[in-house]
Amino acid sequence: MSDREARFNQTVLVDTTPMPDHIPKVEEIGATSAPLMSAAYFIGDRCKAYNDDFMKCKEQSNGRGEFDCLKEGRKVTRCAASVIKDINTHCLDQFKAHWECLENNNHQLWECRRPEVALNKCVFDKLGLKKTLPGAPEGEVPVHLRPKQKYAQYPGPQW
Amino acid sequence: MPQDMPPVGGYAQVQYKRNIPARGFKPAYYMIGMHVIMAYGFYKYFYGAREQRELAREKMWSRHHLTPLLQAEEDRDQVRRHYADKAREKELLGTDIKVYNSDRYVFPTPVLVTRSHIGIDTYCSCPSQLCPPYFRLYPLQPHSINTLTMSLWI
Repeated sequence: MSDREARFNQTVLVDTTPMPDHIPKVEEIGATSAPLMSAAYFIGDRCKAYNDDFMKCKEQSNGRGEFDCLKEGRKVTRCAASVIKDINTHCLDQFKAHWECLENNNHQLWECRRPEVALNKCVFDKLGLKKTLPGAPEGEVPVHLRPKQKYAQYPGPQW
Repeated sequence: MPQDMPPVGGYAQVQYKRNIPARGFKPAYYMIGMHVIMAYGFYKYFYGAREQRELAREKMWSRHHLTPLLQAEEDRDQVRRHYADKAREKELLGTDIKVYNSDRYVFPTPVLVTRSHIGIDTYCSCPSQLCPPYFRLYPLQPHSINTLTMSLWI
């Protein structure tokens, strides 16, 4: 009926202009959600100071945090990238097993306790980073260390 | 003809009650059994809810650890786009334009503003007899302009 051609204006919305030269460059983290989630607690363990610094800067910069906290943001990204790089260097197999398990299980951590235990052990031995769960109730085993996971597809002992 | 009378000795007993032995247990046992089942269900529920709470805590903390990283990346992208916008504006217009509070002369266009425009037709702080008819002259200010219209004005 009508032969009007489709015009996609999304293409002109993508702005590929690079960052101006007066802002130092940093390589972006470049990891997808599953590896990031798998490494999140190790990133939090090593980079807590940088993360807190960045968030505090954002909070105190009164709405201009995007400009004023670029430096802190670069530190955060570099620190997280160093964690990912170290895990890739030392624990690649366990890391890959864990994040692929997360990818296949809807990012549900309780479905992937077996690879997670292996990854945590490897990372603690090689890098000294430990997964801790702040705010968990006292006197109970933290949920990521319990062998039985009630909500897993196989609720029995996971490893 | 004699009246129809009951038989001698009266009618036989009508059996209206079923004479069946009662099945099952006493009702109190069913009550107890129901409570036992419910107690088991609540036991499972409470432990499951606790585990769910811990799992939610685990997920939230993984996200807390990642938030600064993702936010920093997004902020850099916003800054990059902002500078790109500025550069594009400058290339198009030749100069930096202040969008608001500029020195550009705005002809004072009379605009009729009635009460319903400013939303006071349902509520007025003064008594209704004293309420002034809300006619005021407003200079028409551009509230949102884009680069295209700006380039048309200049």
